[in-house]
Amino acid sequence: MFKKISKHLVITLSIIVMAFFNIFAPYYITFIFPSSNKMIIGVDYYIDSEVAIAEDLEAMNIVGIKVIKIELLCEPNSLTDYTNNRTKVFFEQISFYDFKIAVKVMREDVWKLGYYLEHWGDKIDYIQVLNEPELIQGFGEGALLLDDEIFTPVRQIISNVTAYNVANNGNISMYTNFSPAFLLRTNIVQFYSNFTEIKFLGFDVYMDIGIQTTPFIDLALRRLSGRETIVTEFGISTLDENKKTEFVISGLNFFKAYGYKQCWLLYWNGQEYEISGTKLEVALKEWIKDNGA
Amino acid sequence: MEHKLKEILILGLTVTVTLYVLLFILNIYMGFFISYTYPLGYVLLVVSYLILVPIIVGAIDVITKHYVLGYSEKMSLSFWYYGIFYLLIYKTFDTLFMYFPFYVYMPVTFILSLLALGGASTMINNGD
Repeated sequence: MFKKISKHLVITLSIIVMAFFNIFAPYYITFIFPSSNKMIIGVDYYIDSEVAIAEDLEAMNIVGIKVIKIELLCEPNSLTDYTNNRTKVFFEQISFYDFKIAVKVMREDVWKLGYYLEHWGDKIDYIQVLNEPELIQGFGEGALLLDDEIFTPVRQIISNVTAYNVANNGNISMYTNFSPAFLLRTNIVQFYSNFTEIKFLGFDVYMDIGIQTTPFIDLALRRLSGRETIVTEFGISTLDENKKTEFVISGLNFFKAYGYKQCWLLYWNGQEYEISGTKLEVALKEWIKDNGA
Repeated sequence: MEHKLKEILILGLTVTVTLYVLLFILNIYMGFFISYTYPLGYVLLVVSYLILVPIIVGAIDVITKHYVLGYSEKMSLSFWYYGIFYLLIYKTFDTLFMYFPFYVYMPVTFILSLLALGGASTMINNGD
């Protein structure tokens, strides 16, 4: 009887241990077999005011940032609106540098996309087709969008950008980003992967648990989509600069070891996530000098 | 000793090949499952992976023991319990070696799984 109980206890414990091992071990194994590639660093940038743009771009360039992700800011119905001017100044200033520009197109921005591309399409490298589509809120309180409500704007954005590329001999690549919640809505990943225009997918990582489970979840994303993945959002909301610096730098070390070719940080300027003017800015500059592409 | 090794190899080969075949089939039809009346197909995929595959593997293990190797103990009906144990042993080797090139990963994972699953299967057979 004792032998039988012992046997079942050993098997049950082994099952639990192996289940956790399969989820978390890849994180530690990554450091045993680190990739030696260089990584491109990007940032999310909120165009706050025209006045700060030149200074911010100069600072980003000094740090070694290569990709800047912005929101689609424009007002086609009112050409004198200040949002148009902010975007105009941004793209004027960007011409002095060699940044790649990614533009995040949200569901409510679809109707503005034609105007935006017409004016600034030649300066854009990537279009993000919605933001974490699996989590977009619907009309009801707390309700998520239904599949069809996501698919329609995705088709519209891809069709608009493809038409622009064809008409203007453009070279805008499209992608989207997912949170770990895609594991519950895998059909959305599959829907995106049906479009050859979607060149890569982004994975958004937050918190320690997010970093540690990245290999497990990223593998699922790559297998489901058949696309290369990069980190499109990574940051931490804290006012403690030491904690922020330690978290971001350790995360970057892991992503580089894992083999990601790009990691885009959140945000250059923006509340508790802010990089600009913090210790992280200095640490990031050093990190990019040693590890950046 | 020789008899024991033969048992380990037979059981290991049976369980490992069954696992490989079932996971290969699931992998091929993954896209179909996911797109089939979402989320119904996806639920079926998860159920297949976590419930159906272990049950089939556990059942084949028991059948092999009793009808091929002629075990005389009472037949165990804990198919899923032993099946999920075998599946996790295989997945553990898969996780450990997936960072290696395919020509290393494939044979090493197969041989280690075969030996480990065969060993585990002979040890846990007590008819319960």
